[in-house]
Amino acid sequence: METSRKEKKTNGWIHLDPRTKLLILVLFSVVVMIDVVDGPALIIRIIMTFIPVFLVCLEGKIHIGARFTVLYILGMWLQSYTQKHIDGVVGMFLLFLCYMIMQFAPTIIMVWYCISTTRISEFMAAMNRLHTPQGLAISIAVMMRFFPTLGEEYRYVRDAMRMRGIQFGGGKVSRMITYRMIPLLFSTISIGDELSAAAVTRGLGAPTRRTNVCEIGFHKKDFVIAIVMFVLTIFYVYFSLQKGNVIL
Amino acid sequence: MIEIRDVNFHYAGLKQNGLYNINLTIPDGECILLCGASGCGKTTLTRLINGLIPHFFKGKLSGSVMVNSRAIGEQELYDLAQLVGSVFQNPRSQFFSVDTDGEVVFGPENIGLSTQEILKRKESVVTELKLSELMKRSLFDLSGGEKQKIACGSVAALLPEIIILDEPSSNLDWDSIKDLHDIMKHWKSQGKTIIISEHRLWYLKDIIDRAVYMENGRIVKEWKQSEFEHLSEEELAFYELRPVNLEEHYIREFGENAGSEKERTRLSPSTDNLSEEYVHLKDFFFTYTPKNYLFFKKKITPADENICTIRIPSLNVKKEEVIGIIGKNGSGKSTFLRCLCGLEKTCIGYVETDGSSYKGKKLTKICYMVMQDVNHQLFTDSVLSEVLLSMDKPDEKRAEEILKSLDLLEYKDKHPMALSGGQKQRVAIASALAAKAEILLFDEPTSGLDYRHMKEVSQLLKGLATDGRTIFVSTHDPELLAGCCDRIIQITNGRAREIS
Repeated sequence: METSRKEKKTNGWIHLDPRTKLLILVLFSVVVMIDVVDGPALIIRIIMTFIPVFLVCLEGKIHIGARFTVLYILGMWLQSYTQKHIDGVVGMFLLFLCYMIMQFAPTIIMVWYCISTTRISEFMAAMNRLHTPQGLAISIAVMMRFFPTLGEEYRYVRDAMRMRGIQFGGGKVSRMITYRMIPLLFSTISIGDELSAAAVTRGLGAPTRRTNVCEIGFHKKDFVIAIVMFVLTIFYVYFSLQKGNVIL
Repeated sequence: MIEIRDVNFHYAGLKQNGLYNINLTIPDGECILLCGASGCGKTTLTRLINGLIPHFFKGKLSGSVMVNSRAIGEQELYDLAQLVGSVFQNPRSQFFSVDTDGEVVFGPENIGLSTQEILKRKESVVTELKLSELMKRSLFDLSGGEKQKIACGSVAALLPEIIILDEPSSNLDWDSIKDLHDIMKHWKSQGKTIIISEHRLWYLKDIIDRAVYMENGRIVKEWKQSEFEHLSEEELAFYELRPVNLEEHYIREFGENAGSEKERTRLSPSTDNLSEEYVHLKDFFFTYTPKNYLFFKKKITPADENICTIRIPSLNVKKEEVIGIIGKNGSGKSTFLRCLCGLEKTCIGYVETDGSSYKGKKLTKICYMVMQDVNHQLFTDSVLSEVLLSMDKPDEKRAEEILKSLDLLEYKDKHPMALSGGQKQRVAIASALAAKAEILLFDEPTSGLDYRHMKEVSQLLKGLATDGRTIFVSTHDPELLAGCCDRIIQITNGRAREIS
């Protein structure tokens, strides 16, 4: 079957070490968990939000960065507008929507950046350097490997449903889910089986220490980004604690 | 040397695919072909040698399987990995990495070789198997043939003495099969033992030393290479094997020089002839990589021809015909079918038939594709409800009629996933008929099928066409083309051209 020919480039202009990405992901999570409304903390938060956007743009995905920026600005504007002018259920709903955009969209774009630019062998090498137990590293690697396959399978199922005009399952949510899940489950189970058979015939699971030929290492750009993120996070936490914000 | 003595095997919980009384000795450096119908036990036999039986697939095993006088059952799979390498049928599900480099070094990394040794092996495998063009690529962007080459490279990097290939050509086009053939030849010249289980026989005749024919889990017949090469048509038909020698004109049509000069020839130029018995396809232009504006994608027009994956300005086909679509892996066959049944929203093509015109989403109303992996399109818990699901108004009587016409009535209460591959395919066809689709599309319906099932599909397609439907079928199978297609269209670089 010919799969869609979308290019997935793993080497952008700035190629960060997987460990740097992991660090900024963790720092970013801290920031997202603390909610602020105004003051210097908000500015820091916005700066930090746009660092991954900037990185995504450097990967050549300017359209994604642009779409995100517009969405984010729209979200911010809608939030402040709603707070001032709209009350009741509609206002609650809109606020909830904005909150989702402001909280989750930056995280999603951050995670997307980390996953889409990291090769599995790089990730394994990084885990190796961090002395993570091999069982954990392999499990995460398998998950990373499986997501694209799952996506591919899901697209086939969605196409099949579209061809029969049953995307909406006659309006019943339960059916909508069943129709998607049944073929997906069957095909992923068989793929998983074949995949593990292929992996064990290639020696996966040998008790010797697994080698990794992938070269990873910290460079200047890693330090720069890590330090910038680190300093920003410290300021962010400091400012928000000063204002008496609670860590969720 | 591989010695299999008095082996009987049954999969746990399965009645089929067992082995009975297998005795086989394979000396070092021999290339051996296992042939026979689906379910005859070919794959099971290969699993005995690569150790997946008894280590991975459980069951009742008696007798002995020895490689170099050591029993397979007593060695661990990771030790066997350096002795026996396996290439599997499905290129999609035998990769652990997402990039080609990672895949080639995957095996050596697992067994803990030093970095220098691994890189050295990678280097030599890449030159020997001519993989350099495929390096540094994402595996998801490769065609089936390219994936299979990488699978060969990944196996070879472990330097096994024995290489097992289980129906490796099922999803491959002719050029890729030729590459596979060359790789096997190379391995043979290195003195490796090769065991290949396969339905397509023609590309193997000059590599193998011996062919073993299996039936219902038993070894029934053996041929030497010289005998095998000259098997008569009657004998092949008797054993239900696919042809060993192909007719010249197929080799020419599928082979390397196909479609080089006349690329731009338009099909059936008599476009004015808007007679009733034709289906007109117009303006089929499509690309996976349209120009990305910041906020939306550029709509394509016929003027964008140069960037398009599919560029078919006009194509007329007769109703009630079976149209074979051929072309290399990645030439756009599947994409064309996807456009035709309305799955690619940005495709601007439209279909005119019976005086009405269908475009975009509406195409799903008259076209229906039976996918290559039919598991993706079976949703419900019984065959009957699968058919009812496709109807605007559930009509059990009509559904049963449709099932009857496809010999499926007795299975109407069974779960579709419990059926055999061929039956599943027919269930998918039944739901297409229930949706009153007039144009049926088949994406490689016979890949990996044995002779008898291939013949069945061929009969079925013919029958569907006689009942008034227009059939498009994409395939790499010359036998299927010969069996049922009324006309053949070749797609090269997204352009269509009629041959023969």
